[in-house]
Amino acid sequence: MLDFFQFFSPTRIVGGAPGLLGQLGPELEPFRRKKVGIVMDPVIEGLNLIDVLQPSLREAGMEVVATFADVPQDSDIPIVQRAATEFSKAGVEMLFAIGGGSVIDTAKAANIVLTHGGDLRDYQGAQILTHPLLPLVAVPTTVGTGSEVTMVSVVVDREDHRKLTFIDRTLAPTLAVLDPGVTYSLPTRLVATTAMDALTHALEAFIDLEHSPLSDAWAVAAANLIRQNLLPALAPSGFEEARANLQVASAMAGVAFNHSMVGIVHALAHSLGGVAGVPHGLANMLMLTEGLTSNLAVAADRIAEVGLRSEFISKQREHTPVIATAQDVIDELVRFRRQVTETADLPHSLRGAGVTENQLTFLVERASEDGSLVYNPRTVPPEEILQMYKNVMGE
Amino acid sequence: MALFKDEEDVYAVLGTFFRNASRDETMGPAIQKSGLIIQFEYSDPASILTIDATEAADGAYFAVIEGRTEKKPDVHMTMKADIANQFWLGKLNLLAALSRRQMVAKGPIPKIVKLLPAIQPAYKMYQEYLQKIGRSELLGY
Repeated sequence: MLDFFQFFSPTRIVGGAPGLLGQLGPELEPFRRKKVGIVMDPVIEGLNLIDVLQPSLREAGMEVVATFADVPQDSDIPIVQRAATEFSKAGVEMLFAIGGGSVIDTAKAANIVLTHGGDLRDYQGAQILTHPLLPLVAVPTTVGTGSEVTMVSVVVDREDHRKLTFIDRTLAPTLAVLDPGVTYSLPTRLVATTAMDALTHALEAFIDLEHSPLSDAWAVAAANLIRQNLLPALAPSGFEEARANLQVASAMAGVAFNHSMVGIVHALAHSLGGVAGVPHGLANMLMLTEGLTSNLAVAADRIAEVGLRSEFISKQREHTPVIATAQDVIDELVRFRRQVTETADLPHSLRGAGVTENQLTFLVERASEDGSLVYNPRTVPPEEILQMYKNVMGE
Repeated sequence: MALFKDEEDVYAVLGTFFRNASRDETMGPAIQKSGLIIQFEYSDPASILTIDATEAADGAYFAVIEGRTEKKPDVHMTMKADIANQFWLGKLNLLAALSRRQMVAKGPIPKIVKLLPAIQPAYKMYQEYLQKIGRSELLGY
């Protein structure tokens, strides 16, 4: 018998050929003449994507009245407050977020402050927002965040070395624009780590407690697309179609985890980001199979099923008992990850990612209180979290 | 019709249960260690219970305050009193309740995540407690 489930995906998603960003007139028509505030990071600002977007804005009679391009790798509270202040002064009526997860999450969080006022910290929690938010158009430039379709924003509190979580249905962007062209200049390492982030979203969404037949479908489709397209997307040329597919897969994984959320792998990764500054995608990639292994005893059937349905292993490799199939899936993911790290020249260990032994105690403390653990199929004790980190520390 | 007849009924049942829990060796220490002030604001009937793990007295691991208080909670949870009863019976899917807005949690959710394993024994305790105080009609919901 199925437990209660629901499916809710309010974000309009548009995709298509490279250059879509400059052809959004019809999609922007409902926002005609609105004053726009744009959130970016310095790298995206240098790519002049606002120039690409301008024909769309002109067609809808829209004007950019403020641009905030100071978003760092992991956005924090002062950045969000500053963006909100600048947008408020400029009389911004709608937001564009052009960038990766940190940029989109900054726009979401700034939207809370713009419409609700006060201190961002006061809005931590789930489904607590009371006023309508400004329309938000999200243009993901990586292939992993999924934030363009989710109701979640994660922002760092640097004083406390924690990631703060804001969850509300109204935080989901109004429009997500999947323009494959914006991924072509993405460095290979970022393609690899962000796509592995999306794969982690898909696998954890499938395995977590809140999964449903609907979130499963999105998770499997995403994992399958990533399996097929990640290595071709890392090629020095001819990667265009593969990157377009990864962009779609990332949004699909976002829809999946927007419903069933993420689990232990993300708890470990959030802590690595907050305490040691490890980029989120890399942290997920390094901890993925440790997290799956820790769930093997209680979720072997789900691990086996997602591996079979997304064809990480073929039907011929289905074993009895199911735990053997699940282990085979994990082994295959280890091989897949090795290919990705070698192709993209990425670290294989936490030490290689800059983590030191003296950070382990703090890493365990922060991971063991991460909100993602609520959705994990089992409670993971601190001593096991420590062992998982140690297993990936490397020489 | 609401399960609890008025504010005093909520305090008599849930408030007393919380005070019992504040002396429980299996749950108390973990809640005390959290150092959190958690406030439950109920509707139907309107009532407020606050757990203050920054203060402990008379052999209790945390203080339980009935009604309004000046204390600023770290985590503020709102729900119908009937939903609270379901939760303590262990019959409510917490995650579904949050996403359906049967419960609204304001504050650093990760800080209360740590407490979930610690309060597992409470579900059985609450069932036994309701029978002991002659309120078995609350068990069926």
